[in-house]
Amino acid sequence: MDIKAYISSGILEQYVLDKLPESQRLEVEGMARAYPEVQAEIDAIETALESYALSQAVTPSDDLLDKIQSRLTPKTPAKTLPVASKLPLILGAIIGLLLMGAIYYLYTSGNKEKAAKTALLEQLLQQEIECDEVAQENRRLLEQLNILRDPSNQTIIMRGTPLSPKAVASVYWNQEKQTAYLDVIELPEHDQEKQYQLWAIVDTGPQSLGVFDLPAADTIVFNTLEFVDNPAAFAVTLEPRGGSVGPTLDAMYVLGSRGE
Amino acid sequence: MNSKSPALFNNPSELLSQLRQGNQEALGYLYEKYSGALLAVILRKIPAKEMAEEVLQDVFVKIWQKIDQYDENKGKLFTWMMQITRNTTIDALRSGYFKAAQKTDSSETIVDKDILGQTTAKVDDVGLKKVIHLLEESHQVLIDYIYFQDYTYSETSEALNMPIGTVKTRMRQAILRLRQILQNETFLLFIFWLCQ
Repeated sequence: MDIKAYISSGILEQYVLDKLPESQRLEVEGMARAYPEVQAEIDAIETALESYALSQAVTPSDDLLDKIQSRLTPKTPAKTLPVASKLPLILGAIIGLLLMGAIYYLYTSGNKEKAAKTALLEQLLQQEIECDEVAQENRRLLEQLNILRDPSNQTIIMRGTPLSPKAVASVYWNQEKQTAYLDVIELPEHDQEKQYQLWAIVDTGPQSLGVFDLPAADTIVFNTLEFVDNPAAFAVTLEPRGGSVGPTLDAMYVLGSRGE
Repeated sequence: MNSKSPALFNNPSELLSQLRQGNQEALGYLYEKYSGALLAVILRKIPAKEMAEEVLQDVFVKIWQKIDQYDENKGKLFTWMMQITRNTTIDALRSGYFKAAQKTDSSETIVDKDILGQTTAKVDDVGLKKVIHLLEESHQVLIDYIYFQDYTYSETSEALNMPIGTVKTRMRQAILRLRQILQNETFLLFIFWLCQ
């Protein structure tokens, strides 16, 4: 690649002036990482424009800083996406264990008839629990289906980067209802110290939509997302557990733009 | 309150970490340094100073709230602040609240009019302002349209009746010229001083 021609094409000025579509922005960022002279040129353009802006400065009214400071709120820490409740499973396990304990006690105490009855009772209870679970799962799937079937719904498919070509995840985004969901279809397993983090690319840059864990095998989980207005794209990066302030581009696993 | 001297804030990474930790003095430093430049940008779209200052308030509140979204690997803090300023200004105009204040004569160009005349300049920047005046008028117009008024390249091409490819190359030339002038700034300031 002819770096000199790239630099003199004027694209770096467009980049600094924020006049490029997202795809070209990412390209310039890649070039800047790969070629120090591209980064140096971007720095020089930024510095020159900053000086120009400073040269045009108009002093604001004296009390404006006070007004601003009275509006500042303390910082809040990053949040974690809500995870579907595991309570029914845990309750089921506890009840099951108690009943098995009871059966063992009755068998060993020689009361076989009562034990058989209790065993039947356990089966019944177990089936009721299963039935509840199936009904609950059914409701959840129906809710998911309704999200997908909504005509004002838009699906943004995030496809795998060269890092992980098979990876894919989707965002179901609904401007009308102001809702958004994340559906992780295929993302590689990772070690415990790391966690995936979802980003919306908005006009001010990447905005974190929180960290999430991979869904258990063979389950479909729609994570409810904070709704952001007019995102250009979504991406998932692998970050230290708890998430990062900004995305680590080298660890971007999937990326998808909202398109038109 | 744990007071930090402005000298510390001169270090960009220290300034940023203080902002992220929620140090209001760090924001105060940003305000001292940049509020004038950002206000000038807003005034190009919303000429009524009182309204422009309301937008400027929103800009600094957003900088405060969104500082975690700023990625220092992707550009300077000021470039990001300019983006926020442009977006906030456009949002304010779109919201209709400022409709009445908008200029009706959109064909007006900055060369016909001394935009600096209607306002007061920061004393610090008088020297820099003089140096910037060495920019050719055609270059100033381009930078004003694209950088300050946030015209797209194609809008600029239409407004100046110039092919879009020419806008792209001329904009690069304009910024190159600006860089050259700024490099010679110290020398030029000395010449100005001699002439006075």
